[in-house]
Parts: sequence; C-alpha cells; structure tokens
Amino acid sequence: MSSADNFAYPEPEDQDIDAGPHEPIPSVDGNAAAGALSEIFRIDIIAALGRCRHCGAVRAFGAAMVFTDAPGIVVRCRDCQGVLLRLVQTPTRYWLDLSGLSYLEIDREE
Amino acid sequence: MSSVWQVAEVVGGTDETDTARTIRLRVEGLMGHLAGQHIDIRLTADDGYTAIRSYSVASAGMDGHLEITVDELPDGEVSPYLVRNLAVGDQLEIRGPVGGWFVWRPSRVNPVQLIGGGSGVVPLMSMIRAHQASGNASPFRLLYSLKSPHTLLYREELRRLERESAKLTVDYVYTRSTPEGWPAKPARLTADTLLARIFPAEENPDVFVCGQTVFVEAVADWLVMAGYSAESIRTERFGGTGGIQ
Amino acid sequence: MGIISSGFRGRRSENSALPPGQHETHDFPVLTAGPAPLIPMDTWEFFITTGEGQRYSWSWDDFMALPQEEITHDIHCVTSWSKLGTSWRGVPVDTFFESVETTSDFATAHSFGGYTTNIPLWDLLGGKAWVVSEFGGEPLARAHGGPARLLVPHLYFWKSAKWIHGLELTGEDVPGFWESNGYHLHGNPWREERYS
Repeated sequence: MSSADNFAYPEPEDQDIDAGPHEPIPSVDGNAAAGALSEIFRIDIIAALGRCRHCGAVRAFGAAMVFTDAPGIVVRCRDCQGVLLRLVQTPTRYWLDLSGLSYLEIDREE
Repeated sequence: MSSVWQVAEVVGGTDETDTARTIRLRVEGLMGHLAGQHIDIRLTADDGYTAIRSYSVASAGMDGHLEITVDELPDGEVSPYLVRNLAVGDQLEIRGPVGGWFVWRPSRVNPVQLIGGGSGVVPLMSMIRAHQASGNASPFRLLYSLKSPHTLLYREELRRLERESAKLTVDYVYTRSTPEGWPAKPARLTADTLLARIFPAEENPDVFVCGQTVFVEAVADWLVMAGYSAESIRTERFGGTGGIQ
Repeated sequence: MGIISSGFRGRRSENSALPPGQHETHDFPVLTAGPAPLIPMDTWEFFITTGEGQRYSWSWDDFMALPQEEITHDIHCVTSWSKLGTSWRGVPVDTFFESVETTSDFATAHSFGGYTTNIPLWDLLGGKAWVVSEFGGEPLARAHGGPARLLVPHLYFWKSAKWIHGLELTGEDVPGFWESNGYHLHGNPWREERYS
C-alpha cells in the first residue's frame, strides 16, 4: 500500500540517537509560541498551568505541542492533540482563539 | 501601541566552530533574563520579505547585553546569514528574551540534570553560567551528545569549569567521531548510555532536555520509562522553520 | 517595514510569473496545523455527503479503479511561497460527482485528524480540483498529506486539504479551520485574498 513506507523511515538523526519511528511532522514545545504571544499577553504565560477543554488534562503551557510551520500558530494538548490555542497575525489584526483552554493558572511571583 | 520588537546592535562575536558563531548583542533596556530563555530574530529583505527564527540566549543575566550561539544549518534560511554575513555594527530586530518554563532559577534546590544534543547545549550553557555566577550549591550534570570534536561548543569554558568547579560535571557522548585517545568508539546515544551518566531518579533532579525534536522525544521517553517523573522533565525542541509569526 | 538586513534574501529565487506577494521556492515546505494522522488503508474512504442526506463512499480500491490523470500546476501558499510546475496524479473531483445529485453550492472538505476547509462547489468542479495520491511520480508522503489529499491549485494551498477524508456539501459557506481564525473564505491568490 502506498503509505506503508511512511510510518518509519531512516533519517540522518538515526546515526546520532537510537530513536523509535519518527513522527513525519515534528512539533515543538510551548516555548516556541512565547515570542508571538508576548505581542498580546503582557506577562509570559508559558509557565502557566492550563486545562485542556477537550480531555481535562492540566499541564504547563510549555509542555504543549506547538506547530509553527503553518499559516498561524497552533498549540495542541500533548495528551489528546486537541487544539488549545490558535494565533494568526495579519497586517491589520491578531486573531486569537483560546477556546480549547478552560483556564490558565498564572504565577504572580517571579 | 508600541511594538515588542526592538533593535539590537551587534557588538562582537566569537567563532565557536567552523559552522557556529557566538554573537554578542547590545539590547537597550535589558535587565538580565532567566537562564534558558530565547529571543526571536526577524530579518527583512529589501523587498519586504521577512523571516523569523528563535535562538536561545547562551549568556547569563547581563544587563544591556546578551549572547546567542548560532549554528549554520546547511539548508538554513536565516542561520547562514547570521553566521557568515552579519558584522559588528549591524542591527537586528529582536523580540524577547521570552519563555518562562524552560528556565532554571537560582532559587531551586534540586540537583540539575542537563541533556543537550548538538546545538541544544546553548540554553543549557546559560543555565550553567547562571549557576556559576550565583551562590546556588546544587550539583549540575551536563550530558552533551555531539557528532564530533569539531562541533563542540564552549570547549575551553566547559573544560575550565569542570576543572575548577566542584558543582559541575560534564559527560560527552560522541556519535560520529571522537577526539584523539578517546576511550570509547563513536556510537549513537542509547537509553543505556544515557541512564548510566545522569543523576538517578531517586535524587529527584530537575531535568532539562534540549536539541532536535527526534533527540528530545527519544530522551524524554527513556527518562519516563526509567521512572523519572514527567513533571520534573522540561524540554526545548529545536525544529520546524520557525514560521512567519 | 523593519530594519533591512543588508544582503539577506532568504531561500528564494526571482520569478515574475507569480501572484502578488509571492516568492518562488524549490523546496516543498511542510505546513501543518497538527500531527500527521495514521490512516489504516483498509479503513480509508473518500466520502461525499449531500444536503439532501445522501452519503456516497469510495474505498481505496474503488478510488484506485477510477480513471487517473497526471496534473502539472503551480501551487501558492498563503505564507508567501509558491512552487511552480508541481506534478501530481489523481482523480478529478468531477469524476466522483458523476454519481452525486445535489443542489448545494458549497462544500466543507474534511481531513482525517479533524482539519476542515470550505470551498464553493464551483471551485471544485469543471476540471479545477482532484483527489491525488502521487506527487512527483512517487506515492504521496505522509507529511505532505498521504495517502491522499485534495488538490485545488487555483486557490491558496491551505484549501488543498491533506489527509482528505471527504466532502460535506452545505447550503451555506461554512468557515473551516483557518477561515474561522482570520483567513479569507475564498482564497484566490491572484486577488491576494489572504485574510478575512
């Protein structure tokens, strides 16, 4: 079948680490969204705890899966892959969808 | 509304390897930063085309200045410009330092296990430098996985710190070629190699893992399977193209 | 405009046959809103549901048995890169619609994994769209939407839904994943219809 070969294919990194099958589309951590979010949030929310509205998991925002290679930033719950947040920047607007987060719990002390 | 982007000036640099350069930036108004944070750099071509990439801050809490270490990617869009073209006196637009999760604070009391793959060692170096500059007495261990001695970053400083500081231990794992006289053959990093060289889970270390996504995910999986709590592990995956935001 | 970085060009080449605001690339960047879904071939299907309540479905074998075409077309991503002369192999959407009766004017394309994008039916018919399973003579890689994706090259490439599952025909234009978060409902690159 055409897609069978795509599930696990050798990459240059396999010479350096004994990893399992690779995800064809890698993601990064919540940190990667910090700069873009700093344009909207006055304080850093990457260390904040957030609850995923889809599955109820509570994790640090930094632990989320971030996809930055897209027409916008998409942040997903690492447990259920549900969308937590979407951010699009156009020349005239920010579009921010936070509907996947039930809440954010943010430390006030530095 | 004022922008979060500000202009930084290139005031110096050091070649770390044939393909990597540390760049020192003067950033007005910067009052230190947290070890582990990163900046975003935006380059604009004369036809308006822009590219944004994130770079970890390598230095520790200086006022008014910071250093990044950039490794030139063979098919990179931004890194070749920063490593080859950028000159002292040039200006860069930067955003940050940002990122409040993949950070180490001197107020922490746990031992700290740093695990870096290739250029993933950069934010970990910021943590090592912050640790050295503080009175924090927690033991630090760095496991540095790299391809060859030619790609080793911060060679002299790591050697000196290990010699002079009782609170830092460094383990090197060479995956493609080793230095002269190295007691082991080059080999890819495995779970066994890793677990033999890090603080055991019972010592409850704060763990920071940084490198390419494949590296970070393999290491994080091994740690969790070996009993390290997921909450004690913080990760910084380098990957993707950085997008347009 | 920001500080100009003298000598910075990025990974681009010169080409004047491009829609406004686009730059040509020779790579094939992987853009994605989420991880690549794992789709077992024995459960793969392509569906069309109509506003009148009918559901049509093709298995992978059904899909492969339909007449296939080679297609060469330029593609344009809203993030500003364009790739010229890309070659694909697949089935025109017109072929699937030979068995479908509908009065709907719009469609929502659904991908395995949950992605959606909305496209007027007029933009899917008349030789303008395909369901493709090969790129550049090779089976479509999972990262690029394999085993099959929608190809609608005359619109911005976010409309060419990866990991296509099916088309839901609707009476109204229902904004999909990006269209509900700042992007244009239609997405014509020649009119630079990027944002809503």
